[in-house]
Amino acid sequence: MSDKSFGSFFLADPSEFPTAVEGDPWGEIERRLDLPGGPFVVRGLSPSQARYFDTSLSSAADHDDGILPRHQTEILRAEAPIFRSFDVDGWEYTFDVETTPECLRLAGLGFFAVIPWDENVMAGLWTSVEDRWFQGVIENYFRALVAHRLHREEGVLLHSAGVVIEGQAFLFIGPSAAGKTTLARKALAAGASVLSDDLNAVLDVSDEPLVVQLPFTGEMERPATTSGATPLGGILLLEKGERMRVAGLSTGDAVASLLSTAPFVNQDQATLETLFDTVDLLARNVPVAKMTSALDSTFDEITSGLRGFYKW
Amino acid sequence: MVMSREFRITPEVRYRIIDDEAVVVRQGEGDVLVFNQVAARVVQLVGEGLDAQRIGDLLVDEYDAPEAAIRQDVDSFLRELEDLHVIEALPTHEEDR
Repeated sequence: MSDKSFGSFFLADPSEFPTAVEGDPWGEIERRLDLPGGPFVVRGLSPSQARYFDTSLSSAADHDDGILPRHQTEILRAEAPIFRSFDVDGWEYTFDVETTPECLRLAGLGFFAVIPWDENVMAGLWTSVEDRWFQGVIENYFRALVAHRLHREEGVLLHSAGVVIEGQAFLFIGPSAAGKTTLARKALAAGASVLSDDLNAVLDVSDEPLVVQLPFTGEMERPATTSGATPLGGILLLEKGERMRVAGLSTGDAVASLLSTAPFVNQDQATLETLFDTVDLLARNVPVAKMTSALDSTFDEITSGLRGFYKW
Repeated sequence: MVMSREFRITPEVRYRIIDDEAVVVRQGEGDVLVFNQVAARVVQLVGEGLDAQRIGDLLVDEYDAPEAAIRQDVDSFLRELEDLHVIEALPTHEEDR
């Protein structure tokens, strides 16, 4: 996919990618979301789309109509033949993301979107689906949108398992199959509060970084919703090993690990320079360490290891 | 006169010197590499447009080690960086013809 130009993998004719947000909305239903980088409002949902929207994102619903949204999206109709069709069985796909000076553009399975950087201009999400596939469309849209909105507000979205231990959030990062979901499940079984096993938002990186729960999960069921923000206690790069061990990383290694873990914004030369600044600040404000643990390490052993390293 | 090889940072690469290390993002490969102090200095000097000879001269001044060993290390780092597509050799005037 990466060898092709933007949209060519997903769209039958990428030259038809819209330059302006215009088209027919699917319906008249509106939803509000209180997520980092927002509040967001989504308009033009059909009843079926609204149902799948709620299934996916209701934990972040914003019921305060009095607060003005900072970002608006219209859901617009696209004809199915616009999209190429695929056999998606067992396929973990990555959609196309491109930034231009004017907007962020997305193209994926059954959808494409234009998100102008100007907050006063409505974003457009075109899709051909209103069945269960819409749940994936709207989640993917908000994953990329929140990543970019945070990026512009001295925050960062990290591919991580977030666990609250003794009032502080710890983010466990690492490549696919490093053990993020396993660790989150162990934490949940031990009675700890889990934020997400997939994506967590870090705000205020230059001051006292905070973690905010997002309604995005990986392989885990959606954990209980936590309200507000939790102080970030530390970031741990997961590595499988023989025994439990926590060791500090150099700032360079910490920055490299965080860069690898910041989805969407780490793929684009236009956003990479600012991302370097953000994760450099984060690595200097929060201890980043490497945590080696065995598959059978218990959550108690992991907590003890963290306690020893962070000197609680 | 012996021509010294000239390099440049590969266009798809972005790097930052963080403390003494170089954090290098290879956007084509989608990965991030970290280089230690001496290799980081080599990356930085290539980024500043210095040729291999001049990089060697500077490092000989900066480090308290035998000159031959330093120049050998510089050559070795340049080769490694080139193999990793972090830097690329610029065509020599001879090759231009």
